[in-house]
Amino acid sequence: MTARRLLAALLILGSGCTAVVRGSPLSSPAEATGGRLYLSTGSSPRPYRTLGFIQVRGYGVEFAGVAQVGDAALDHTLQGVLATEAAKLGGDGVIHIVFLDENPTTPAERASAMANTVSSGQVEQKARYVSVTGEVIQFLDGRRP
Amino acid sequence: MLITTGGLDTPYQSLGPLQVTRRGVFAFGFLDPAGLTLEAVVDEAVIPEVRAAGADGLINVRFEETQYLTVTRAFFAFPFFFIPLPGEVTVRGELVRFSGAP
Repeated sequence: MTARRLLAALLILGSGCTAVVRGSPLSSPAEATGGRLYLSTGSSPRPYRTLGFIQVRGYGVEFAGVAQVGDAALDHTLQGVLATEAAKLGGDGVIHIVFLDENPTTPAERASAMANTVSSGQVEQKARYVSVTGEVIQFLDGRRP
Repeated sequence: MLITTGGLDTPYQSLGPLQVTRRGVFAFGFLDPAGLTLEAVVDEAVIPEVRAAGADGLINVRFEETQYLTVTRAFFAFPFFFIPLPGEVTVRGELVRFSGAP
């Protein structure tokens, strides 16, 4: 009986869970940004000079696996905070963006957090982090796409 | 479908960033019921997500996989067979749709 329970627990734990995080479209090389910053994981579509480098780490809290407050949403960190900081440096864009949602919640973890919240009566909390880095650039021709 | 750690020289339209993270455990040090390898995550999770997004590929891909030394795995096969080893694979990149003539 104990061996069967152990095997069942291992099978449940072993059936991995996959978390998917999506963000809004970034800038496309051939398209106009409408005056907004050029944001890309790739390089610049036009000659540029480097103004500096930025790293942003967004922090938020997830409650009971469902609700989230703070700045740990990929879009907010990437298209919000990163773009704002790059604009403060006088940049026209950020290239070679590297992003990482450090601890996304899988469906199994979400279900577990909800179950624990319901059974214990205390809201389960989880710290959430998103990191984004990039190179701040200024286009040599002085105009944004 | 294009999946590359590099960029793209041809014109494209960005569909946004994508990150796929799979978490699970290795049983008895070596058994991998969760598919915690790069190949499994790309085949089973990343490619379907790229298709579901209507994208033609994923560029500037970065990836990490939990890797244990064989001696560590053996240790958790015996004597610590009752302790599962945690593992995680993360694949992230930018979804793109090709535009213009190929």
